[in-house]
Amino acid sequence: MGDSSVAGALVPSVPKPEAAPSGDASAAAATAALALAEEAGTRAAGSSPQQAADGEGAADRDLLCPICMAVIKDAFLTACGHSFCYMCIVTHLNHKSDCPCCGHYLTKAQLYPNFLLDKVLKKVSARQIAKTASPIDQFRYALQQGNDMGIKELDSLMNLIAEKKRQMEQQESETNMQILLVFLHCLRKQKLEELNEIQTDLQYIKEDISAVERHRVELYRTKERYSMKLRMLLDDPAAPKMWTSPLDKASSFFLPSSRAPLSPSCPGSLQNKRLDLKAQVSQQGFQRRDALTCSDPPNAPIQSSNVIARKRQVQAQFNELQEYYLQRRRTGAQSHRQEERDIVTMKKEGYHEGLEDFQSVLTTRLRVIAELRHGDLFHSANIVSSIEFDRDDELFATAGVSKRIKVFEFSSVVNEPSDVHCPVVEMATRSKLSCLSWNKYSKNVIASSDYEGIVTVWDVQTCQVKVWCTKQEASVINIDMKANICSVKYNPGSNCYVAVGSADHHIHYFDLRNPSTPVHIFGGHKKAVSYVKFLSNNELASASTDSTLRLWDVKDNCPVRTFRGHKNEKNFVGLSVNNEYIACGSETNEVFVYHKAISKPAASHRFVSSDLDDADDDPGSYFISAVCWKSDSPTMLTANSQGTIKVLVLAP
Amino acid sequence: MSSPSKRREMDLMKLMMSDYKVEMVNDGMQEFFVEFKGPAESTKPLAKSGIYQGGVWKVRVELPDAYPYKSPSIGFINKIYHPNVDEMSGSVCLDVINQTWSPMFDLVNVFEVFLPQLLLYPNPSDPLNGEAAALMMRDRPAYEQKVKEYCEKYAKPEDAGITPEDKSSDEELSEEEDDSGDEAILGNPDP
Repeated sequence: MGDSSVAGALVPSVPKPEAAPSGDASAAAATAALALAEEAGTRAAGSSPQQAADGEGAADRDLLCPICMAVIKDAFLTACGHSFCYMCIVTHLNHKSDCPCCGHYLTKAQLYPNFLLDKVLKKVSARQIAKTASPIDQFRYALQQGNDMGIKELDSLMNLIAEKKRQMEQQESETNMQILLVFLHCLRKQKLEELNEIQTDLQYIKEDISAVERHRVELYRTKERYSMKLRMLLDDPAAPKMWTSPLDKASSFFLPSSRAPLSPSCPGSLQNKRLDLKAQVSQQGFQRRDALTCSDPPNAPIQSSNVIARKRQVQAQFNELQEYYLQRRRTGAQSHRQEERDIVTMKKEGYHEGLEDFQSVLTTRLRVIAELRHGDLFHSANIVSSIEFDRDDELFATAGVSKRIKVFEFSSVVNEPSDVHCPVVEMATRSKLSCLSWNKYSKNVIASSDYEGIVTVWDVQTCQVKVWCTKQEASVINIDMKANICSVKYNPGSNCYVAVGSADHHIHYFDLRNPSTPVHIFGGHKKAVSYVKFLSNNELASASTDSTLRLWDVKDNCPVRTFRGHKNEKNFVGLSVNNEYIACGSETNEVFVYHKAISKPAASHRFVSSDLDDADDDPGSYFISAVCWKSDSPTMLTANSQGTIKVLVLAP
Repeated sequence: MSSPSKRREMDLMKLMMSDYKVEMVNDGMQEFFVEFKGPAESTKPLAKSGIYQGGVWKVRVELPDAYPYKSPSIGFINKIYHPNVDEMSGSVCLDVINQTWSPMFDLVNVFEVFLPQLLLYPNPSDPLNGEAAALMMRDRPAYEQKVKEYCEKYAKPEDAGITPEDKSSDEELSEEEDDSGDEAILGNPDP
């Protein structure tokens, strides 16, 4: 029975002798097998013309091994007549010695191969593959089965497949290259844009350098021209007046420029030019005098060290200055694109507008234009806690621990060179004063707050007094704060937004229409917030005893910048802001001025006490206690704990 | 030989395609829960009428690695009173299963033929619940009474609550009913 040449090589051959003992069984098995095979064959044959799916399904079901539920592979027959896959029945017989179908006793010895069934099944599965499998699977199957493929055919097939492979690889690499190209093009475009930007910036810088150089050469030439005359007139203090007429604004600065050695380096020459880029006609008198005071020979060596110090300062702030400069130049260039280029350059000294702005930031310094003493030599009783200009910037008032409000006239203070000035009005208060505020609408009316919690309103002309006490509940709105309040300010653009600087390190921004919770709480300061002041409707500056000033945006509710450089660890040192600059005092007896876009100080001024006993006084014990800008001008009032009041101006 | 899991997959698929509620334990096809109803009145001469009829049990099926050569292990999650079922753990005596198991059986067979047979023809010679076996031998009516009691108490439809995998079938209780179960609960389609 065993014809092992037919059928697949996987069917293990059953040794003949084993078949002998159950010879009749095998014969019966053989006939049974034949019958079964025939049955299977007819059924299979019968199913082939049938195209109905169920017919095929039924046929398939019958051809499944009951154990693995797949088409029988290597069909083997049991003595009791059931067929299984060889592996399945053998594995089963490892566990149990019975037939899975009928339970009849069964051992491996009673297993016989069913070659006909195998053949039929192969045909069936081949037909199935031919019908249902994909071309690739069919091809693979054919290859596996393929007995009748010659070497030549195989070669040609291999060439075909290799060709296909090559084509696919080429396509793939093409796609990859395309992607790479796209990426490189994008990158190139981006870099070109950056290059353009940098080139435009370089163009601006070149233009500015040539403009500045041109101007320097001009100045040098004019200086040469007048050098003789200058030397002649040096001793005459009235001489500067002559210079104002022939050469307009730049004249007053020739005096110091000829005096000081013309240092070859650029920043030095910038300083020497002392160009006033904002028209300050009223201030010209002060500047003349200041020019005089600065032109004394003893100042010359100080200037060169000053130059070094300022160069260092510029280096330290380089990045921020760079940003500011580029920003100004770019916006300036864009706004003038429509106009003729020539018109643009015909600005005051032939500078581009952006450069002017920038130069003012770079070269400003604080200079004293007036000074007055507040009181006597005992500095502790003279701390000026508040100094404020009135509505029209004509008067200013000071108040402090000396329990007096003194009102001075600004013009007389700066015009008269005397050291001691007399206040126009002086008002005594019951207790020490903490803060002053002039009425912005009624002239001559000023409010003051004192250490007892009493707000007093004065009329400085008639010295009449109105009093409110903060302890009484007669106020319109009560905002309860958990910590001490150090400063309160209305937002200048609205009538309902108030910023409160508190000792809990935060600034509480309230809308008075809903005073129960703040609109926003600005955190960031490490210690109590001593002052809050508004620069504009959106910008709020705050000072704190953590030695920093911070700038906040109240529209976007976010911090903008932190200013460092001064020292403030304990006292109220004063804070004042105008549109561009922020001024504050320091416990080192210096006034610091910051530009709102640059976090390092733009200028500073030390209060050198003008007492006779200079050497004995410890400058560290004094601190600046109050500052106030004169509206939007570069002039400011400053006062320190000694009682000295100075008028400073921020100018190159 | 086809992959070992093919048989499993097919069996599981067949079970799910049939009317049984199947709930998988994990994705490994090792373990799952099936809702099994007590067999109805048997037509076979020697069997008693379905004393387990009306009971609904949650049955835990675990397929061993050697499946289908080894029988699955069956366990009743809610209580059943049967000589070959351990009352506390609910596991069915493995020998009993093994004796009748054949690789030809599949899961549907288990629930269609095997389990009903077991319930209808307990094998007292190899009991896990000795008390039940003894009672059955000693006092058949009392035994039947106890079985019914247990069905009432522990084999209510809500006790065997199964969330089926794919199907949402409305199963109905058979008419001969003395269970106080809510029609409404059973009648609701599964979410």
